[in-house]
Amino acid sequence: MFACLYSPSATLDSQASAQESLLALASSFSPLVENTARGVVIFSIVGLGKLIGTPQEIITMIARTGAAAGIHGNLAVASDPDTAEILARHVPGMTLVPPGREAHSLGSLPIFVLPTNPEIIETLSRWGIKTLGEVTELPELGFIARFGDEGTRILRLACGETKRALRVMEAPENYERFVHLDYPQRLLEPLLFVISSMLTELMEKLEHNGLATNRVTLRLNLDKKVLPDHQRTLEFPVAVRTAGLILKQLQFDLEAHPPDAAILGVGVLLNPMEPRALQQGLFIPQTPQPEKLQLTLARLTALLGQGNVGSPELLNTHRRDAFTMRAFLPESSAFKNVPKPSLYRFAFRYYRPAMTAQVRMHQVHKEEARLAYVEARGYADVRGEVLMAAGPWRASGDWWTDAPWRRQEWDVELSNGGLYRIYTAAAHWFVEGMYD
Amino acid sequence: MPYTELHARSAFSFLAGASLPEALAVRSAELDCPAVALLDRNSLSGVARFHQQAKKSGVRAIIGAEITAVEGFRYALLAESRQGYQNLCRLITRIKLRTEHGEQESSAATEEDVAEYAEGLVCLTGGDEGPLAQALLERGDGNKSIEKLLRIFGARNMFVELQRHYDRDEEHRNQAAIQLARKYHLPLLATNGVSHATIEERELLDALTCVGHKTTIFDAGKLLSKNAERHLKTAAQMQKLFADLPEAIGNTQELAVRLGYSLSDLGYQFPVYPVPRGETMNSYLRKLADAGARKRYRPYHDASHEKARRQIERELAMIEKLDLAGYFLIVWDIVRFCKEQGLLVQGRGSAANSAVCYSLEITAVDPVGMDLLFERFLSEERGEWPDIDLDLASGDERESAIQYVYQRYGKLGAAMTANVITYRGKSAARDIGKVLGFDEETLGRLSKVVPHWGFQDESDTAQRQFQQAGVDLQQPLVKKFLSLYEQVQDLPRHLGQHSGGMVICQGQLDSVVPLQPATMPGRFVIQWDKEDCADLGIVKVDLLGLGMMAVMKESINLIRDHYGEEVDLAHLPPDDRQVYSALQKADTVGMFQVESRAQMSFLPGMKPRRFYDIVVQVAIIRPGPIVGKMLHPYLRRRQGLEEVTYPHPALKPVLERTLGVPLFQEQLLRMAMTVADFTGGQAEELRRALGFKRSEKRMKEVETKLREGMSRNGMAKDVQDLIVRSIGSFAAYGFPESHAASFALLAYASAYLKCHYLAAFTAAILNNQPMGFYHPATLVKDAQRHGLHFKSIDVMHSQWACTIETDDGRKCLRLGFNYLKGMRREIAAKIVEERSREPFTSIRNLARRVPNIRKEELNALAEAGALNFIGETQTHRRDSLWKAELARRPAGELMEDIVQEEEGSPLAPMQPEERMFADYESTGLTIGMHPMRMYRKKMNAMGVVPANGLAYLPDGLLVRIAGSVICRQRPGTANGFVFVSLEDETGIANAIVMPDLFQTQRLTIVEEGFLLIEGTLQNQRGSVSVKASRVEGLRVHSAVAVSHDFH
Repeated sequence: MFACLYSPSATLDSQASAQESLLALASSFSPLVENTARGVVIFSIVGLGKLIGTPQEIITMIARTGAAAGIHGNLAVASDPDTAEILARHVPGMTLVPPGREAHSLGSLPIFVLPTNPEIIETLSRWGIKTLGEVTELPELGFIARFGDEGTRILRLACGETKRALRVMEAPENYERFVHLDYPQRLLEPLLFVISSMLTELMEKLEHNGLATNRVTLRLNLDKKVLPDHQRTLEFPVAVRTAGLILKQLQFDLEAHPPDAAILGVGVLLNPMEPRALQQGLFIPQTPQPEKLQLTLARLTALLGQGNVGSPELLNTHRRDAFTMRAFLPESSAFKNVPKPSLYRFAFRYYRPAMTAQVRMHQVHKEEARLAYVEARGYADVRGEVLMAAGPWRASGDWWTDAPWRRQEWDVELSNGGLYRIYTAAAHWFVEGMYD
Repeated sequence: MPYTELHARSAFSFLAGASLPEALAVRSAELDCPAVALLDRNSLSGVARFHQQAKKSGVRAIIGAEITAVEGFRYALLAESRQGYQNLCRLITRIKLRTEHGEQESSAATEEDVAEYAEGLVCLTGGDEGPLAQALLERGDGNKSIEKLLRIFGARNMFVELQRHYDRDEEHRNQAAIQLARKYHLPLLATNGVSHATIEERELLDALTCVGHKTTIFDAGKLLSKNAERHLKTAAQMQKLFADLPEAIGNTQELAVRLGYSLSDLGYQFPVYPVPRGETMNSYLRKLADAGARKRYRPYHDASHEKARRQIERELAMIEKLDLAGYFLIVWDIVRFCKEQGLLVQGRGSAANSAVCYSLEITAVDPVGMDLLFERFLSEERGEWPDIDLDLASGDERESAIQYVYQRYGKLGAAMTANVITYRGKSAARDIGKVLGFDEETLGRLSKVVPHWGFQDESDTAQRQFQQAGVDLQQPLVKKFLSLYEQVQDLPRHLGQHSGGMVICQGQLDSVVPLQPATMPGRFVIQWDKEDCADLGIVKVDLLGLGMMAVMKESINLIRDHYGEEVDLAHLPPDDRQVYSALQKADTVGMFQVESRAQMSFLPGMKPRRFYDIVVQVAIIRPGPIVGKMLHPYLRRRQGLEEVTYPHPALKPVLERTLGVPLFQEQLLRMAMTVADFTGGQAEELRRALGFKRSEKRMKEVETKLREGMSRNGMAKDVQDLIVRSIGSFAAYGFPESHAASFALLAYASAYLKCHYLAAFTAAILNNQPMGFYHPATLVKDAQRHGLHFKSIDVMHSQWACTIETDDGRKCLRLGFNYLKGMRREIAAKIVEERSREPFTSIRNLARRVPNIRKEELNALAEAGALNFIGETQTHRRDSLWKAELARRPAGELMEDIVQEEEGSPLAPMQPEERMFADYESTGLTIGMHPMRMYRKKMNAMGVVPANGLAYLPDGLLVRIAGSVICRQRPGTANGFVFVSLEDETGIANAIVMPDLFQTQRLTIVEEGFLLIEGTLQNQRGSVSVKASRVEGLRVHSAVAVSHDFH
């Protein structure tokens, strides 16, 4: 006998935990559980008679346990798993089908409950066939001649006679470990020792299962109750399997982001994934080993700060100096959106961020004013009379957003001998950089 | 120093310009620019309207175009002379004809093309897309590019173009260009490379750029404009920009003077008609008109035809004076060809005012007998070609006539006029929505709420409609959407092909206007639409396809084949009792022009008794008379409820036949001629001044002239006011009497055919769908109520089209395969071919002999009952479905025997209701019972009155009606009222829904296929309708939805 649990709320993608509850409920009654579909779980109840009693008592017990666990849905028990599933999906509440009565119990259900392609349902509907009972009355040979193997399957389904075996699920592997420390730990080195042993164990398990990881989450339980756990996550562009590498990166990360209190417990969680398969070619240029590269990048990030390491990528916009930092990957084409070479060949040195400037204008006549003097101080000392100016060069954009931008820029030669680019935006003047 | 903008693009560059050419001309005038040059991309489609608007605005229109080169850059070319213009037309034609359908992307000229047509053209080196910019960018050297252009155009015709949009790269290029200009001694020329008239339109240009590149505003990046500088600028602004190069500004003026070519000098010539030796075109036309008149007016020299003789003479004199004989001969020639080929043809429109057209058999209405006004058609003052439109049966017959014109005037001597497809509500919402990255669901919702109704009240703004669709108007992106949506309205999207307008030219049409390939191979379409042609004096002959002409032609053939009678439409009995009886009862479903709901509601009051009543009937249900509030005065006077009066006794002869109410344009002309002594031409001028495109100034001028005339004739001020008001109120919408008369002839003929040859008429109208006002399901039910027996589709008897069969001496209509959804014509033909060789013995036999038949087609045949009569015993539809399922499936050796042995099926026959639904599913109609009949018992219990019972109930009674919605209308002239027609098994009931009820029940009224309407019965003088107070949907079946909406 098989029981099928169906919970409509668990069919929603967002309700992953509801599915887990269903599986937990099923597992509490049987080791033979099939994770049939989202919201549907079928499990064997053979042998429960000795433990619980009659099928009616078994189904009542399952329902009661489910209700206690907050599971809302339908439950059906039949000697055929597909029959149980169809009934659970389409008959509200509890349904118990005595052996041999499967066809009868399915007979009054409409044909659209059949899990088959819509074309067949449409054909049946065109034939005036409304229920599964009517399907079973059709001549078997004629039906199979028209629908082939699928016809056979449909007839078996309608008669409640598929008698298939369950696709029993295996318990998911767990790549998480947590250790409670005997006393609060304040030093990094002993802590890394603990983490190292946890990582080694988890890595062995990963390796055993032919997997690697691309994400490690470290959770530190702090001594001060008011503080939340100190959690750090490391992402790797390529899946790794070396405990030492991960440990080193965790060390850099913890040095850069130390916890606010002593540590009472340590948790490590790995995200398993297929390892990277790479065949080395004779003529492929040597690139640094991914693991070493990861380490270098982690060192640089620790040094320069998050978001300041990677490959710069120019944004496709007229806005000056608009770029974003992407994760550095040697094989990726990081040099996208590189503009065509400009007609002018000057190199330009950006001041980042641009320096606020004072600009004095010289009124030529009523309607015309010229740039006369520029002064800005910061990481460069820019000041001088304007000897020559070219511009204004105007650009504007993002007019469809809340923050449209607009600016005018000039190239100025100052009396200090430098050639600078200055611009005005939002009523302020800036020196953007210097032509080399 | 004056400045002339010599490089501007309009929206006719299709997605590369954001302003209409008219807007560029108007803006130039506002900025005091003396002239402006339009250079659209590979196109001259905007130049006609640009030329017209520039003339009005006092700006000189210079013509040019940007021509895409195969290398990717664009030549900027300006026409200096007529030869230059002609070369430009030919060059564009050359590159367009290389493409499949004239697509912008694939239109490109080679260096040889440009060299061949360079004469008379001035070349600018262009902006950032020009040859010089490309050379500088790619090679950093512009020498070769300049030398190439010099070779093609010569130093005199070449200018180094400088544009300054405050862009550093551009300026760098400019400096290189200046050096090259100095080196080669070429003049500099400043332009602003204009893409939009005003600064604000930059956003729209960016949006159109995204549409063109099929991307969103977020991903377009550097495709968007860098700033908003590509707008028309004043001379002062340009001088400031080019303060260091004053000669670049000065040269614009110099070049503008040189570019003296104007579209007024188009060089268009209408073809000369070849006449027999010894004849001139005038003498030959005179001869033909005389011979025709003798046939039309018999006996010709009888005193009763004195007026006709004088009229013909007067018209011929006018035609000779205006040198239009060739035009009449060419139209006559087309008509003659049609008649020789047995094609139905009839002239419509104002040509029916001409006795010469009548004599030449171009039109079928006797203008002398009907006292029509020739001046509406042709007048000396107008200085335009007359407009003759020919109606032909849509489809192959019209195609034959078009082919004849092509054949007669040569490949490049005739072409179709273009139809400018512009951005309208739905297309605008979709394209702009996509640009702003809206998802499919939002796009669907937006385009659904965009107005597609005839009527829009003042509060029915785009904002309100979008708000109703659940769009949050406060979101910045939505605000941008609304602004762009409104700006993009009426901008051209692409060029289409007009359904029937043809232009003909003496010699090469491609030297007058660029041609591009039409959809049909071997056809060309010009880059101007019919208004452009009219404005520039290009003769156009409209060969229009009229569905009803095709119906009549097919009816005549069916009558000949099945009734053994010959029907001559020119000689139908004039006062047929049955025709007028049907018209008076508004029993007019399927009849031309008198079948709409509005026509039907007016007919019982109008009670047509003679042909002229049909002329009035055709003309009166139009926006003009309705908006001008002439409908009810006319009806009340006709019913004797109101006295017939005239604004002035002198107008009695003019308005007498329409009971003192002006209805026709000809009456307007006559009124002006009578009260103010206008000539025919002046009167026509008055009509135009008051017409659609009103100009305040022009209206004032003609009104002054009109009042002066009336004062001279001693008319009092109040009478003058009355007449001016009367003329003014309907001038914009009045219908020409001649056109109404031509249509009335067709209306009468269609009514005659329906009344006397119902089977033939119904078969013909079903075979020519889509056309008319009603869905075929309604036409079938109407014919059944008139006693016509229908037979279902049957593979043993049906043809592709619906046909007539005779059963016990009674004519029946056999539905054709054309009504089976999803059936391919070639499969139907194969079925007919195989069947004629040997009848099918089984469904399997059919499937074997028509091997290409698809499973869906076989199932549809079975579902429609078309396989029931195969073999010796009749089966039912489910039997056929059971067998059909197997017939297209290879059984395999093992199952073959089992399959062959099957005879019956285990399936139960369909119930009547199931059969009805199957009919609708497979054919869209049923020849069985009406769906409402099945619900009659229930309806009776609910107090629903059948449609045919309403006429017997008293006015003012609260009633309920129910039925399938066959028509929903919200006419622009009805102030938001909605008209709904419900059909049940007894007939059609009409309901009127008030605007407030419509607003609250909008979804029910628009979406539901079946409605129950409760309201007050309005039963007055034969006109029956229900004024709805409550509307609810009836759950019947989704398949049974056959409404034709929002005509």
